[in-house]
Amino acid sequence: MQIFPRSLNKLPQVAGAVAAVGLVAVTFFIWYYFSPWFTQVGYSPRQPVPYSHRLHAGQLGLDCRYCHVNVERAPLAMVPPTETCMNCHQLVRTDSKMLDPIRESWATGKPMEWVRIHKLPDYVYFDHSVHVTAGVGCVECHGRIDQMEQVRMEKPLSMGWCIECHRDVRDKQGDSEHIRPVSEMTNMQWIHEGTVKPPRHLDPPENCFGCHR
Amino acid sequence: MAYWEPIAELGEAPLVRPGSSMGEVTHDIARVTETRAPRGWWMCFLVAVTFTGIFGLCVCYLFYRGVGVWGNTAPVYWAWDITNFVWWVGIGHAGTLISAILFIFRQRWRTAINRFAEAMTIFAVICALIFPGIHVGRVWLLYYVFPIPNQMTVWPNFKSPLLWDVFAVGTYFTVSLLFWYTGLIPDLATLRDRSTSKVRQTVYGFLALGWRGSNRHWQNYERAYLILAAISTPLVLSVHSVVSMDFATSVIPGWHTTIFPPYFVAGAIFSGFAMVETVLLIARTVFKLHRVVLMRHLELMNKFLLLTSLLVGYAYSMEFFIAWYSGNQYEMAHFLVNRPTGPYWWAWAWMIGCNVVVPQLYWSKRLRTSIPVMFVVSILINIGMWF
Amino acid sequence: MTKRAPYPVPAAREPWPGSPKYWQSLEHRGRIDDPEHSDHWAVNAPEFPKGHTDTPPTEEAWQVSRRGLLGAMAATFAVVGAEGCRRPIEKIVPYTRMPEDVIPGVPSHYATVIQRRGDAVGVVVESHEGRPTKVEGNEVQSGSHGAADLVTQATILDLYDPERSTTPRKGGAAASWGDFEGELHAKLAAYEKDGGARLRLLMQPTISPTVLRMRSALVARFPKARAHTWSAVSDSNAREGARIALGQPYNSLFAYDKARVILSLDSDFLQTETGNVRSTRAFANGRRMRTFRDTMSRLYVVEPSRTITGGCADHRLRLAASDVERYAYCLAAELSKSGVPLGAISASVTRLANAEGIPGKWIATVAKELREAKGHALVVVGARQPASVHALAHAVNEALGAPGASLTYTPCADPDETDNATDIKALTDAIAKGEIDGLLILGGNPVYDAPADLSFGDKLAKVPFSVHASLSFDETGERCTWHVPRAHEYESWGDARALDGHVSVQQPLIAPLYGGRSEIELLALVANAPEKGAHEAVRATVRELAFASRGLTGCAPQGEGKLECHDAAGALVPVRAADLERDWNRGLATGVTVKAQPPASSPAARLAEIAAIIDKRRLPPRVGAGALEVTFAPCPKMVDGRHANNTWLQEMPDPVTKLVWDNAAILSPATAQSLGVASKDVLKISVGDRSITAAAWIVPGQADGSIALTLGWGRRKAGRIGDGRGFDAYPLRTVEALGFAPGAQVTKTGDEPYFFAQTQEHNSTEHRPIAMETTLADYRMRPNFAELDSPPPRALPLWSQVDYSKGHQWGMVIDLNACTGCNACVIACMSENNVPVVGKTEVWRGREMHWLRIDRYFVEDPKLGASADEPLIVNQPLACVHCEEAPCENVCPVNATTHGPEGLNEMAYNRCIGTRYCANNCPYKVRKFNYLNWHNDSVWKETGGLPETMQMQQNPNVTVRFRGVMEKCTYCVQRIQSVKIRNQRENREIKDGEIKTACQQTCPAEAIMFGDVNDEGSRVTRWARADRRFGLLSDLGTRPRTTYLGKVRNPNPEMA
Repeated sequence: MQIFPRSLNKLPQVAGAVAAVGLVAVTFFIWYYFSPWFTQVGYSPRQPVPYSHRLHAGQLGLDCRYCHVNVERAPLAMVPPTETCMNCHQLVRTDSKMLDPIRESWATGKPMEWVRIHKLPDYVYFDHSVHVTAGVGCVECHGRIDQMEQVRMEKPLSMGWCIECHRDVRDKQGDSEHIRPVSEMTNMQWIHEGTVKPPRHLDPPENCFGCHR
Repeated sequence: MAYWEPIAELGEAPLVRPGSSMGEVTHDIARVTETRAPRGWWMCFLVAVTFTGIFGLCVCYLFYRGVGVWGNTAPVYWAWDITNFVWWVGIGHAGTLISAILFIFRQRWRTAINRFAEAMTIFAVICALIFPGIHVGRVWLLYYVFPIPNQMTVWPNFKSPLLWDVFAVGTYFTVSLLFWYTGLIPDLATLRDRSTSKVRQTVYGFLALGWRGSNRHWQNYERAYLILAAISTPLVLSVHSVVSMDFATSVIPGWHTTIFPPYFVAGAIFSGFAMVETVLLIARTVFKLHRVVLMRHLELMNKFLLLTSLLVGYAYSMEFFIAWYSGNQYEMAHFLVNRPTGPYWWAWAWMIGCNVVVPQLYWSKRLRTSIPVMFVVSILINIGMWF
Repeated sequence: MTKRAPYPVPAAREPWPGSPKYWQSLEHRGRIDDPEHSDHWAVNAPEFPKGHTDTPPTEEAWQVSRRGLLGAMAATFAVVGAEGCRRPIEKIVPYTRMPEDVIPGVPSHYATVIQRRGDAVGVVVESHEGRPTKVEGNEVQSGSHGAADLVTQATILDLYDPERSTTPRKGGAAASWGDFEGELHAKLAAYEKDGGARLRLLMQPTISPTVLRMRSALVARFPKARAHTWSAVSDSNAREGARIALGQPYNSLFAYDKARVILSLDSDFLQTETGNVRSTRAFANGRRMRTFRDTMSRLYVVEPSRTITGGCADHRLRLAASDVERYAYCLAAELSKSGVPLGAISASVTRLANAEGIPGKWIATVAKELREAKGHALVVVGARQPASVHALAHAVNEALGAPGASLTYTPCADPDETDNATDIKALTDAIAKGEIDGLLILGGNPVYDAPADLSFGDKLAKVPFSVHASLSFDETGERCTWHVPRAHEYESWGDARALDGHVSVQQPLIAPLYGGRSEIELLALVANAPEKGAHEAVRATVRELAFASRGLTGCAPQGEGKLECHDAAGALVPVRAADLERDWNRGLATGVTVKAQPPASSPAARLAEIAAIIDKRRLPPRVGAGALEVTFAPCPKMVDGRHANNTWLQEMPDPVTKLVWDNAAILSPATAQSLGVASKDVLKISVGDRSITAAAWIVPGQADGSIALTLGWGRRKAGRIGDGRGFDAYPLRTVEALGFAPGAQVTKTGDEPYFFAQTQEHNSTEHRPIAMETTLADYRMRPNFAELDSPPPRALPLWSQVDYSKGHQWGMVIDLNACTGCNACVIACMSENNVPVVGKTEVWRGREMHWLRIDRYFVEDPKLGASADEPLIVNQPLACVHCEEAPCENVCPVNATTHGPEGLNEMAYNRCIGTRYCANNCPYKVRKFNYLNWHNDSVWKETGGLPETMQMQQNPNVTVRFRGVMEKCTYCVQRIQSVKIRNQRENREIKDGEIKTACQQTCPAEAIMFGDVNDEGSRVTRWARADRRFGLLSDLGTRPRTTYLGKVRNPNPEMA
């Protein structure tokens, strides 16, 4: 009396193979799809005011530091106060509907509420100033902001990604493509050719306390 | 000659006593799965389920509040959790020992108990694995201990004995499972053939992997079984040795001891056998397997218990001796003063009493062959080994 | 045949009879001679801390409610069930208008000043985006020398106390400032008619020139009104003594660093007396030993109960507080006998000199020492001793040539302040007679702490219009018709005159959180002074002081930012307002606005008057079994009770008893035995018809027949944290007996033993040689005594060695000789590193989270004449020592704790999964585990977690640890990193001393040194080269980065 069809004899082998392959597949699936490479990159929320970096930084050629004033001297580059917007927009585009929230904030003193895009966990203590003065350009982490109508996240900002750059710079110093002359810091088109003389011996930390305290 | 036939030279009695046939043995055992479970089984099951449920609730609360709900604190930050882990892993060893080592030594009487033992091993190891899991402070990050490639590019610390545990116990579980299942295949086939209902046929049939009892099957089976036995034999020694290194490699007086690996292994087999016996005695009565599990088998187990208890006793005394011999006053402090007279003297007393003193009863044949005695003793040993 | 090389284990301190014994508590001590335990294995400390084997006291045990459990399950399932993977929206909220000199993410620092007793401690407060987070000492200000004591450190938490008073209240019901001012002005108008004859003002003693100016302004408006002063903890006796001896209540400024021999008569000048911060620094400097050739001062202490000053003594005599006076007379008599000129006094003291019960050596030898150290000898008297003793001390000091050498007299801030006790008595009598319509209580809490025999609280009800201004709506606020919230020192303008006479301005760090007002504002309101607001008032005061210091008078504004002043001679001196502005700003920046005047020629002691006073004295009865005495001392943590709601202070172990969240009635073993009392027994202590209940705690070194109680406990209305903690001693305190009350009776109530939590026995040492110490003589013979006892390991390290010879290598050296055990560093660490508070029961379980603890060992050493009843003390601060071969690092399965390139043992909280293996394997037991989510799941549980205001205090540069995570000292890595980053940014090398850890920064004794051990020039390297250096448990081969300098005692061989 036969319970199973003959073809089922292959089942164990097939099952074994599938299991083996599946396990590996799942591992790598998680590795990529659960990592910031997938979950973070491309995040591009709508802002209360559709501020266009392409227009301001790209076409008008405003320097990043006009708004993000503290980038060279503080951990936070700082999102500018309403004041900064009003410097120009008291005269420019005074009637534009899009700018109503800005004008309102200026009038009422109620701060703007921008949506955070580049976010690191609370236990990560990133310092803009030390990176910028080492010759790491804005574009390294933020991508071609000057081409973005609406800012989107370009890089994963994941730990592995940070470490890679740190290791590269530690080994190659000025030859690392992540390093540029401090003068070119905000220049998005700048391309790394030949050796750059870094402002100091670069020794990016790879130990825990480098970023976690 | 078939392996069940006795070897006269060794003065072995036939496994199947005259007056009962292989068929009857098969019937006796197969009956257990074919008839409805007896009331005794249901009662045991109910008790087990209740306690499991309570355990579940407690674990929920534990996860909600944090490990602070346990009383443990400095200077020794481990308590109930790791004790249970070590205890359960130890329990597991008996199964492997009985299946593998006794098999290799062709101890035929093992066939009466090895299935119990192996099953018990599997569940013991599962229990063991629970505790390292729930004892950590942030259980939701437990996967950090597995060497999975991750976006942090951080690997586990291969210097850490805890990580060795992960691998050791993991391997142990896998091998035990295979060993158990492989051994089970012909029996599953038997059940398949005896069964009348389509469902049972399909299920057992599926699990039996198309076993037909042909010579080739038997040949491969024996070979596979032997290989697995060979693989798991070193595990019996290695797993608990690794576990013992959690303590042996630390700098804490009383933990920092080279005797731990053999000591732990001996203890493991000791407690394991006790546990097997406990389970066995219950099953034997509940399922009326007196014709299969003979007094002779139980007696042999008790002899084994006596032996291992002596081993463990030796280990204890060694700890004392070395503590004194080392001239290290902090070791002495630990073993000669704090253990027997410290605030936890009662735990120490239990340990010595149950593990060294009680088993000495088995020098007497009468006690060695009395069911109630061995039941009580096996329970006591299990308790004693926990401390 | 091969020979075995034994592993060298340092000998425990038992083997030979008569060798010093180290123990942590009496129970522990008890086991030493217990035949069962005293054995050459040298294990006497209980292996496990209290509470390991007992069950927790039910009243504080966790109650697992059914709903709690269900909640738990629900939550767990929520965790299990996949929650949305979508990223939560997070907002960035920038300023609309950018404030000046604020850089987000970069803290700013402001210099201000805190009044502590009669001295001003200058502090620099760190402020993040406008919220003050950390208090540090101000190096420019002499009251601080860059250090701060534990209470000053903790004031920042008082600022954020969620239970501060938030609104004016009329009869307890919330009202508005408008209502208050309305009613106040109406009343004042009425009082003005009769010149305020029925108006009284009650304030605490103050050193603020502006407050004093405002007070006189008030008196100017109400000529018949009277201002009273009361503080439960005051220097009245000292002032009175000075007035008698010198004609004026001068401050005595002791230069302990210049003195060779110091005798303290019941004075805890290192912790609870006025000017403790400056004293500690000076004292430590006087005992610093760079090499064995240096000299150090010698300290004799006569005191009834243990203080840290007594702990630092080379010779300590335990004597009932009421006998100290007698001792003083005996000593004076001996001195005069041996030719020290005491004039008229010698007769009177000789008459009273009754040496009964005082060891002869303590009179003869000490007198000899003082005499021989002429010009370098000091006699210091404690605040609670009667004025006559203070007066006598002035005479003795002068006779010993101290003034000018190691003692300077400075004019006190408030010459009008009268004896507090008589002053408040006068007030209460007036109230009783119904002479008072309006009473303004500015600060203080008299209902709680006024002398019991006045029953101030009840009488207060008789006053028709009483106003209480205070930080919290407390016992006094309840009883007054009006309560108004006071502004905290960090919220308001003010000023303070330090002991040495210089004036610092107190500038606000933050706008009043609850719209409180400072004394100055309130006084100005009452006096309706011309100045608008405290700022203006303070500026005016400072200007006057500045002119006065330049001998200018009568300044009138004269257009064009010019003022016209006249100097002493009356000549015109034009002053440019710009200069004033510049001085003012410089003052604010540095923290010292008006320099101290050079001390006036030191006044001569008026021997006749002193003699007269002494003649009037009637010595209190000797204490004995029948008649015990109760001594009252300010609590090192609560002071007079004002800090009762401060969780940091509550949880800080008492420097001596190591009790937390409680005070206790301290008894000596002998007294306890004679009374049949054991520790934790609840006692009924009665003096006359007044009595309190308090639990007993037996401390060796307590004077027999004397029971010590600290003030400031058992508050009834301090807030959730402070209420009902400890035992209130005030009910026993009367006008006549503010310092100590003779004739006390003690009975056991027979209640359940009280539940104390203390850290004393946590972390048993099993007598390993840990806190190394020796005598000066022995040190000179064996300069490396400490190292001899802690041999290097012979075992090889398990893993490959790391090269630590390059780059910065951070290290720390702690000088046990300087450490007084004051615990300031512990609080500093808590406030810098967001260390959570766990609550009494959890401490009792042994789960306190302090990264830095101070282990206190009793030393019993015949060589030093220290018996079991009179042991010495050695303190040892212990935090993570950052082992180069760290046992914790190897065992972490997930690499959560690793070693950094600069030698730090790094703990990555976000990687930790909480196996606790590292803590098991740490031989120093300095790793602390978050068993629960302490911030929310401990003392603030009922209120649903850490209050928002207290979150404002937390340091944004340090991760707030979640439950299930291990944590420990990081060498304040956030400070290291910020300095490194700044210097990299500016391409500078890190200078030595640029990075200071929180504990090092605040240490009043400068006992902690941190820096780069690779830098040959750095101070830490110099310290580390000292001969007294040793590594803790170095035989284990952990190679700790934090090393210690052994303690050196300076006993007088003649005393032995």
